[in-house]
Amino acid sequence: MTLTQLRPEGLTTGLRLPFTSSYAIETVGLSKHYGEVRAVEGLDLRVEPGQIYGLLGPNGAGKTTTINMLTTLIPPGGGRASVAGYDVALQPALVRRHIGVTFQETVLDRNLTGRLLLQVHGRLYKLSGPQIKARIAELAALVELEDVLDRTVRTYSGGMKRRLELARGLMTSPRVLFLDEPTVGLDPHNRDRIWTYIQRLKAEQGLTILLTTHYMDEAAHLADRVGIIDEGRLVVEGQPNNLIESLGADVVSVTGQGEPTQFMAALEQQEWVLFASLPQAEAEPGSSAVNSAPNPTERATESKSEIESNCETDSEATSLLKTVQVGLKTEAGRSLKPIIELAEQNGFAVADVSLKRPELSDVFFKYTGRRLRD
Amino acid sequence: MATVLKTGRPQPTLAHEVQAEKIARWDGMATGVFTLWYKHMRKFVRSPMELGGTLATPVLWMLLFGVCMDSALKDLKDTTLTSLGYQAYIAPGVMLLTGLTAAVLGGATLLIERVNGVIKEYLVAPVPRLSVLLGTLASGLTKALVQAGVVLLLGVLLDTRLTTNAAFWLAGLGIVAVYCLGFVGVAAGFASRARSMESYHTLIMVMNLPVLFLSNALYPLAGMPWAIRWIALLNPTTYAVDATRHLLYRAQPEIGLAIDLPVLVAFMLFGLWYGYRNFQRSVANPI
Repeated sequence: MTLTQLRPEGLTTGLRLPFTSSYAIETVGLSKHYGEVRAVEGLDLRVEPGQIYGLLGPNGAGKTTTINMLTTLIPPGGGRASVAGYDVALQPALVRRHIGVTFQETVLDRNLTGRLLLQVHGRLYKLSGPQIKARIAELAALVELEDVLDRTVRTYSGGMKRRLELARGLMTSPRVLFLDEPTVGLDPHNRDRIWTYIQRLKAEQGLTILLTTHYMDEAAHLADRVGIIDEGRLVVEGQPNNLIESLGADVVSVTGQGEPTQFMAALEQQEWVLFASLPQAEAEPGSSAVNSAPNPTERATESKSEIESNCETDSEATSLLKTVQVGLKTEAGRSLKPIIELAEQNGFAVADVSLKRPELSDVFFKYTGRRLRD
Repeated sequence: MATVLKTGRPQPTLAHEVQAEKIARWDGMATGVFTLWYKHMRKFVRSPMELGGTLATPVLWMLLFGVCMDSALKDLKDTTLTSLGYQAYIAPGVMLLTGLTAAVLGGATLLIERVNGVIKEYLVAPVPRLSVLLGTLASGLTKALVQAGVVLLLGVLLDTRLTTNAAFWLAGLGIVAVYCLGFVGVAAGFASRARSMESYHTLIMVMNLPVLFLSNALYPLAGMPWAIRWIALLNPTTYAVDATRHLLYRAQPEIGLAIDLPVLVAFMLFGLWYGYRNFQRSVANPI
């Protein structure tokens, strides 16, 4: 039993009890409003110790505000949050002792050397001289910065700066590490390296990591659990694989003209269909949903001729195109023809069909009705 | 019920929790102040531009302005002036101006760290937020004193007759410290309010020269038009100049230590309060 359960109403005595949790991170109804803007709105998170939790969402979804509250940079507007077992609002000093943070933007003194920067950081946390020395050697090896450690940060590349920041976040052996968009703006090579370090950390040190990202592949690759956050709320949460599997084996996107309601109803009666949905916000002129869908792994070329023969659209009409997503229970193969037939029988003129294995981005699409764009 | 939480710490009691937080909140104070001071000093030593730039102004004042005015004023009968020589006369003012400039740069450190986000590193570290301010004040003050000391030595080289009594030297430097601390506080307050480096510098430029001109640093109070004299009497520089001139060069004071000291201490307290108040405001919502 935790304190809060024992005496939930410390408030009656005018004394707020700390919100302690056995999770590495737990939030209950966490909120932050800036005037009219609801940056974070009733967020409930639970992160098990030793997990990598990926908080996924578009820019402005509230990821950074959440991290700022959890790292005690700003006080929570409402709700409660516990990090490493301490209350963020009532015990910020205790929280700070047990966390490491890398911020979204590069926060480094450009005129200091990498080594001095790490030394200063170690001193802030009261590490002894020998401890600092040992830790710097260890971390410089991990993030492969041994050779440049005595150069001023000004001369570092973007990837090196990021790696130095990661090393700084780890200097003090935190229990919980916050990484706010750790690979944003990095080339693929440097991204890979950062990913490798993060995975190694998890394997070797059992660190809890809360990571925010708007890269789907990053979350799928690194996170044990993923929470999709949109407009300050947690929309869906789970293991990346389970989330993807919930979408079915394959997802077929049918783009066409006309009223799709009947078509969708007909689809849903088929036993091989898991779901048929019409995500919104796809009516952007000039770009059909199929074209903007990232990484289509397969195009249904075999049905191309059929599509073309039925295609009555011209370029002016593309703005009227609608995309229906069909989740299948089995692999697509034989279902394509029935889908197109159903479309025609129900007054939906097919313009294009694409097929792909579902990815995390489709999960995001399904729950938020929007695509993630960089 | 001594259950152990998954995070590895024992289930605490309420009293223990409250106590632990109280201790944690302040026990990083000395660490924070010292680390910040150390970092700023390392940066200062690494940047000859900052050191050289701040010293260029007083050197020009002493060498060009002082030397020329000295010969121009030779015939004047003013006792305060003739007993000292003009270079010695302006040395305290120039020294204080140097300290002031260094104090302003100390404030700029705070601003730079706030604007480029480095301050966030401190704010999530287990040191009290106040230690960030105090560390910056400490480094600003150190820079100010070092440079004031250089000006003092320069004055000796230019044949200003400094008192030989070391106790007076220390007292004089004490006055400089009190004066500079007041301005470091004011600068930190400005730095916390300013939105950009540009607005900060504009503010400081506007302040810098009048602080010198509207005081008794370059000419005695007695010779001023009454309106200017009144403004000069509102300027803490006037009291600092009066006190240091008396202590370091044994000149006849125009105001007297009995008034100088309380005024300067009051100014220092005001500066520190102003800096603290605005700093608190700026870190309450650092984003």
